[in-house]
Amino acid sequence: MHGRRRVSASLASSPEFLEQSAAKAKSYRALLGAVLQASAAKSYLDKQIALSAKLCELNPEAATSWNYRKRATLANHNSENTPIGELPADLRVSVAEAELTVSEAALKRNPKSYCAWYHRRWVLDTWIGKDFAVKPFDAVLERECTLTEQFLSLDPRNFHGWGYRRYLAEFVGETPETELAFSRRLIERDLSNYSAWHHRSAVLPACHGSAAIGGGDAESESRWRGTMGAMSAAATHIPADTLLEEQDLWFQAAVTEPADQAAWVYARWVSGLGSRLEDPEARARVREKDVKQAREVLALEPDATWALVHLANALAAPLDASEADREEARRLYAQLAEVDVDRSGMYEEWARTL
Amino acid sequence: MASHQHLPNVVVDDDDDLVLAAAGGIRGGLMGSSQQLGGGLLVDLHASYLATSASVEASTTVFELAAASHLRMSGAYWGLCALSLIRKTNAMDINALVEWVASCQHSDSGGFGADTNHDAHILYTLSAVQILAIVDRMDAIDVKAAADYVAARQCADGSFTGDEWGERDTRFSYCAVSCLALLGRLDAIDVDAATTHVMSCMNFDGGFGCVPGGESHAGQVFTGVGALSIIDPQLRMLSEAQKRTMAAWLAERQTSKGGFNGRPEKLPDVCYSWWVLSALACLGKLHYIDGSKLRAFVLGCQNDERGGISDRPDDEADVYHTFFGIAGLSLLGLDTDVVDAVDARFALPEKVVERILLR
Ligand SMILES: [Zn+2]
Repeated sequence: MHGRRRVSASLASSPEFLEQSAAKAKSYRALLGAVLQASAAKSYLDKQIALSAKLCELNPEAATSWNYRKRATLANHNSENTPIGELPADLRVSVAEAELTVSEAALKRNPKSYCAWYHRRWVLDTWIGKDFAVKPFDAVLERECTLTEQFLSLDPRNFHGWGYRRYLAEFVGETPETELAFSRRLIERDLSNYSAWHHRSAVLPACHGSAAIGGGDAESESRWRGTMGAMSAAATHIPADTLLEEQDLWFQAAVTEPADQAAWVYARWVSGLGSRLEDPEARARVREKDVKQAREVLALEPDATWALVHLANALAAPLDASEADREEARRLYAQLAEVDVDRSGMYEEWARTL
Repeated sequence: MASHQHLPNVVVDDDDDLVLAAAGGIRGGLMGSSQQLGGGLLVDLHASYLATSASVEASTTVFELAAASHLRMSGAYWGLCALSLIRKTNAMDINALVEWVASCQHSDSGGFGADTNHDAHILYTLSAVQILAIVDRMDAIDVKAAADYVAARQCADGSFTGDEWGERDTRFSYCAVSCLALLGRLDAIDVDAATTHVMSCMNFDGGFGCVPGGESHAGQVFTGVGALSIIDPQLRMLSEAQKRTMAAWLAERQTSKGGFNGRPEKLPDVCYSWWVLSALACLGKLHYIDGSKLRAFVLGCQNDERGGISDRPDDEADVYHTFFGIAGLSLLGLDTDVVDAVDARFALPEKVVERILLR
């Protein structure tokens, strides 16, 4: 458990404390027992389903309770195992909304519950499917987009919320350009929002591939999702001019707050993409800008760790470093081993293997 | 038990929760200047804390433990493994434990639930197998059915679902690979497809997310690199550039307080001592961080009255952080007088892994 303040030993062993804990344990166990029993008996009465909602809200990670609810929707509303698309639209919407409401209450208690977030996906995949764009299903999707925005504004680093946003984007075939613009908006609102930088790195390669997000065919799906591509193959799809623009973006953040890691991690990625460009001249443009921008930050703050790391790595770029560059990089790594002493082992190794 | 759950009445903080009953080996000597600390690891207090937490009595009368029933199998593994590392398994009733573990196996699917009558899930199937590995009692369960359950979770793209409801996550890839390796049944899955899928979850920062496109998180990085290390301890599927990026990102998780965070610009937390350190160990880069500062942070999170280790100093201890704190100290190798060696890939005592893999 996280962030639960420690109770003193005397309080923890006091009879009142123990009694209170035991009473709460008893009522929790009674609720859990009732849900597990209904689940084992495959009994899906309204009052039992209501108890499972209570359990899910009380403990959003109680997976069996969510599973029970999924089974209940199928047993009570689709016992014939009809393809869901053939069931009445208003039934499908009402089943979906009831489940989404329970999940929302659970997420209000724990915005990072794996189970509660996954329940939403299951509901959309199972009860809405490809009909999301038409009435009355579009209202369900609308609600999901609003909810995601709300959770991300409460905590812009909630990676479950981000994951759900990417899922929705894929679900409705959103374009990567829309997502790229979204990431920029969030970065500009808060330069240290690492999740937004991450999101940008995940969609930028797709903007230089083609096509909409998702859409069902395996290739476009992998293009949208495959950030692995960003590390290797897709690198070649991002032209130097785009990389130069991305360098402007991280530089804005880096001069504003040189000690914040977020933009520097992004800078490292852009730099890596630049170093793998085939055209030596294009490669040089990106690398020179890396060096120049890192030096500008260091002019403001000579000991800025992440700027030193960035400069040293750019100078040390295997394909393009001159002997003088390597010499300077070694000096910088030595300096880093002093200013960022916890990681001195890393810098010393990098200097040795230059 | 407690973990990364936010249970009722618990203040929700800003941590990212990784419920994964596992983590992972490869030992590196350490590193940094070994400064002498007063106190050290409170082995006896932790042993009694862990044994009490594991008791049936406590699981019914202590609210936090009752409310953790949905992950009790993992709790039992954390507790037992921690006790094993500090050489105190005699504090636990092993026969009763084995009997209970066996009672959680589902006869239809072969998978394990977190507790009696809970649905089967790959997370708890791995925890069950880890427990039986520690006590060398794999004979107590239907091994073939367990392996079949895990293998049946693999999807066409190489990913794994957690259970029949279809959630996919690299945590489950790790569970599958670790569990099947412990059962000697890696042949039951398409290992190349599993590798490709994990690799497709690699990000711009060198870390791994839950799914392709998901943000990196130190716990998730461990599941990625841990799974890959079990498949190939040399990690030949990763390029040198990828390893370098990943190791740097992991090393940058050490905060000025000595403890590690799970993502950039987050607070340090004891459990990341394990997730980050085990991943660094898999990469052979334990020397990238300051071990003695990390050790001081972990020791500072001990409850010196009642035992147990918490996420941060002055918070309430739980079994999850107690285990990951002790396992982290084990990887650091600065307390070998009181802590046994842990295997970074399997998150099990090294001697257990040796016994199983050499069999
Ligand atoms: Zn933690």
